[in-house]
Amino acid sequence: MIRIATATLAVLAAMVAVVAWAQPDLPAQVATHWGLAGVPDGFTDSDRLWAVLALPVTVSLLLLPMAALAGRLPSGMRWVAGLPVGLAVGIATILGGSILVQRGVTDATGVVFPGWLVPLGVVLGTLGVLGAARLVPASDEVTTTEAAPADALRADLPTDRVVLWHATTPPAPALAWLGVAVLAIGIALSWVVSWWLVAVFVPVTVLVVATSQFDVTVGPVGVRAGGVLLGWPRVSAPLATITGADTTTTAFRDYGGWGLRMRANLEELAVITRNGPALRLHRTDGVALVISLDQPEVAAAVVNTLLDRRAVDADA
Amino acid sequence: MLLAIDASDDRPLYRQLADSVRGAIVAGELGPGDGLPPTREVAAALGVNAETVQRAYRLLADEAVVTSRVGRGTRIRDDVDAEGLALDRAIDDLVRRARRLGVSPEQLAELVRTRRT
Repeated sequence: MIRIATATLAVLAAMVAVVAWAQPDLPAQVATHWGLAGVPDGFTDSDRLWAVLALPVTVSLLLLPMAALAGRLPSGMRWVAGLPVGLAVGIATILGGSILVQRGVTDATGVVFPGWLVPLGVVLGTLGVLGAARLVPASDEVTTTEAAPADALRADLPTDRVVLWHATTPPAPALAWLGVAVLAIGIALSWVVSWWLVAVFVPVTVLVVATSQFDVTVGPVGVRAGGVLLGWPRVSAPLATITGADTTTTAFRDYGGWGLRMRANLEELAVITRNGPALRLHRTDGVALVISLDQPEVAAAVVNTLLDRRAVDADA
Repeated sequence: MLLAIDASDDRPLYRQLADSVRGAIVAGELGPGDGLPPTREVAAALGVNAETVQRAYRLLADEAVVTSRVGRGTRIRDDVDAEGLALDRAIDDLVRRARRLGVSPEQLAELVRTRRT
């Protein structure tokens, strides 16, 4: 938490410092708002630039509580902790860069928005997210060798076999179509307006499509859910961190959407592709993992039976 | 879909894995057109090398049990011969049992032939 906060503040402070350094060379009226065509349509006095910087700085700081979740995120999801830093890096690149290019210019009305800043900001921001996530110390997961609760569902599995259960989450066609629509709009806008919009729309499309369906696997190592695009994004719960499995029913309003969801209080992390039945894994750290499935009772029974086996193996 | 892998026998793991897929087809757990889980998911869930799983899938492809297509993953072939697979497995089982009793495959074949006539 402290490392993420420090990194975020350091990035924002660097942006403010660079803008302050460049301030004497900036035009009296600095272009600070741009139309989609890259032509400036909003200007700020160069000695009042702090007002422009205040908003993105505030937004980045508001994201900081996400860093507090860092240690509790399941493996495969730790990158979420790096979001405040990544956002700050992206903002610093695009906003700071668009101000810096106006050094030595006397009349900012003729300045054209440097489009390359957008892909650069997206790339540096992504690297910022991944890099910052590495700052988070990996907390030791609390492990257990207990059997599943006595009243939990059980499956009749061959005792002398290693068992692997697999299913896909019910597909979310609406989400996949949304992805296609976003991409189509993005391509159209990029064609008509500015090429750099591609840098915004392509990542959004990839994220939407990747979370429209997941492969769910239950095996002796644990439970994994991997997105349709090369298994990303991935959420995994080692068997040793699961205390029991049951079923639940999910509703759109509980999660505010589909895909990879986190409830605000982090009582639940959810891989949701449809309203309806879902598998719920109870974990040692108190964060339940909820996964949409057509037959969650089968998956829950398999998980609980694997937990029983683990307990027997631990006794032996 | 449930795969049960017989870890007790001493064949290489990829053969056991391929055998569990055949078993799932014979048991009706998997049918024509059904998808197999992605190799990386299987490997991670079992805690084995992804190459092992790929090898099992290649073996099944060579045996005309599955077909792999980019973008669609690995699926059970529409013309999969479930009856043939069931017979194969029954014969495998018979050979193993016979071996345990000290009956060689040749002797077993002889027994089968005399049973038929």
